[in-house]
Amino acid sequence: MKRDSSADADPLTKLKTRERARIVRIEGEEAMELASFGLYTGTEIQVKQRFPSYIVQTDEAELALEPAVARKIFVLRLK
Amino acid sequence: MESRSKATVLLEDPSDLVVLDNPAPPDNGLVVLVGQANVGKSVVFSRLTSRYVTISNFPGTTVEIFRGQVDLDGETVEIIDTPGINSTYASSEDERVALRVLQDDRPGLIVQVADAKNLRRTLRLTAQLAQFGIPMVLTLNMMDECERKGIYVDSDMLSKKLGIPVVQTVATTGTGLEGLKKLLRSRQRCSLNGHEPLQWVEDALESVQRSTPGEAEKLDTRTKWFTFLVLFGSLLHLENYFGAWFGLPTLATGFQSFFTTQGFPEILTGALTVILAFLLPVLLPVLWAIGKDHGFNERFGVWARQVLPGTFILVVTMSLVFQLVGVLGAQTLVGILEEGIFSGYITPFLQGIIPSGFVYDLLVGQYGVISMGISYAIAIVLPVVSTFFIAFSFLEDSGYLPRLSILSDRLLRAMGLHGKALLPMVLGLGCVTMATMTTRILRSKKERFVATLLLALGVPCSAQLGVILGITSGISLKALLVVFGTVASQLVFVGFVLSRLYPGQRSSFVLEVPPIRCPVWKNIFRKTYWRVVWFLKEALPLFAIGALALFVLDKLQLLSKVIAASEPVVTGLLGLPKETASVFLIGFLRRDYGAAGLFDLSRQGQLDSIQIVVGLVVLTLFVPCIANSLVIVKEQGLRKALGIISFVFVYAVGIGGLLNWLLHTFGIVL
Repeated sequence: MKRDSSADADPLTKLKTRERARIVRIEGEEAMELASFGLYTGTEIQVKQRFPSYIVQTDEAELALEPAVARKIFVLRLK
Repeated sequence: MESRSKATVLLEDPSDLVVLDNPAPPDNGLVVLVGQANVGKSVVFSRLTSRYVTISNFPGTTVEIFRGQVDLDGETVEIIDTPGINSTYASSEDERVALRVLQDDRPGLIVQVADAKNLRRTLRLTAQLAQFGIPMVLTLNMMDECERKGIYVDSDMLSKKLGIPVVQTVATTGTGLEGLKKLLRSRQRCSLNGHEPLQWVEDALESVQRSTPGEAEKLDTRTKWFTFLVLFGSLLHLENYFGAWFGLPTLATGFQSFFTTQGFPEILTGALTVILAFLLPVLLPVLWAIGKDHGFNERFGVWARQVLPGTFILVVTMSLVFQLVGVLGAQTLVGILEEGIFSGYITPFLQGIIPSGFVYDLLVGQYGVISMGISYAIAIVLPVVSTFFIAFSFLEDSGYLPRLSILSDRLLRAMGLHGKALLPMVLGLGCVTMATMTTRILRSKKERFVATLLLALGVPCSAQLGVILGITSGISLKALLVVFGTVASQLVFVGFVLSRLYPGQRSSFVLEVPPIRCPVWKNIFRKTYWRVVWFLKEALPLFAIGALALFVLDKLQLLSKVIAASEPVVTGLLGLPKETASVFLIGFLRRDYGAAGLFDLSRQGQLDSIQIVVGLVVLTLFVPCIANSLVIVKEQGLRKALGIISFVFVYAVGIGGLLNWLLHTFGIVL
């Protein structure tokens, strides 16, 4: 099992379907846009689908993300 | 504010609100508008004050604070509009500004303006704002959108849960704002009563909103049952297509022979067969399952965005739309209106009472305003457009379209676009002009240009689509596939090349996926009604003018000259009879108009199958109609618009010629 430390953060694209994770960092200019959809540091997410787009579930909604965006979201896996 | 008091108030009487205490007298009296970006805060602000505020479309572009005054029973209340915030954690400059106002100005009242259809996100912010201890009013704005989406919010119950007044508004029309204005002196505090905020939000949501929350990881028996029924219905529906290929007895042929032996008229037999064999086997189980069981909704929503089940659902959906628009609309209804009413009664009647001469030719001659213009619009195009709008409104309200965006995202990205561009493309199947205006939702210049060009090039509008479906269903499935295959491959090819040639970046694809909901029929028909009214207002004059222009060209002997001039291309390169030249010419006035002309020619038996297919491909790819051309000029500027239009013209004729050559050289039988 991974230890919870920021160095272990993986891009969202590394998660498998159904894995849960917490966002620790969002890179790039999409951060603002993602925040308006409820994705910000601290948000708990679950990956629902990886193809043809990434689908993540947050408390608020299901969001579809293209891989280029998903790569910029860094997360820590939750048990 | 007198003009606005006429607006209907959603919440008829403010005394309907549950107010726990009597409103306390204003402290410093300041009212602050707070809320997420793009929830209509600025509109509420400008409606409440007399001051005009420009509405920004992008989050983060209004860092200035707007102050204004509201007249309330002779007194003035000061009101401040703040930038959009998502949380009280201040992660951006904007949020910092908004929070400084709350902390430093100590307002007497926070008015939280919220998107009514995103209640969870709204209440999470409410829970955070409540911790400031400042009295609040919650405004559920965009109730029209909320209603359109089929979400019901019990604001009385919500008001009880939160302990603050809740008012429903449609700021853009002013609905409910008088009710909000009366509440600006309300001083109720929102309290979580020691609950954990997220749990508190979930509790509140559960009791006030009819939606489909939660996760359906496991299938219960009922959902399995529904799934089986829907799948069975879909297979039954598809069996009608594939069974016919293998010469098997299908449900459709069964119904057909039954109704024929019962002595039903041909048109009624056709219509009943479509409804009973194609539409109902899928629609009934789907509507029943979605209406009754939330577990099924969720499963369906998941399948619709996955590759394999999603493609199956797409095929079934498309063939349903085909049955509704292409068969029921373009064949049955057109048959009744065109052959039955216009050619059967109206035109002969008018031809009987109008003495031959100029007026006769003008109104009911070959290019008569009534015999051609009005009858094309009402008898051929209207049924097709109406049935398309019913189908589109249904898909829109069900929440299916965003899932289609997800499925098509990769393909569209190869074309320099992304999933969000699907909406203009699908809308283009309704009306390309309308769709070209919606390309504004795309973020980058590059995307807007690519989408506009592709819409102009190859996306057939509903009337045209209906006519294509109508004509090709009289030939073979192969003919339909050749037409769509050619057009679609050209869209992908041109998009692919263009995305590499045109400089600039595309924006990123982030899309909220709404739950699948059972559409409300009343809303579908209301929307369809308004769209049809809009269509008639826009199209009828153009159809009449189009016929008039042809009439004038004909009288001046110019029509034959234009047709003669284009003959080498039309008869030589495209291998079409010279009459089709006039079809292409009127196709410029309105694409569907041209398609209707082609429909007419093929009904008269003047075209063979290859000619029909080539004609349809050229007409689909051909120059956009006048209305669309004007919108392209408006959106892209004259220079780019001329570039788009001339490219499309040359390309359409080139592809038509190529297709004609290929079909003949390889002796392909359609």
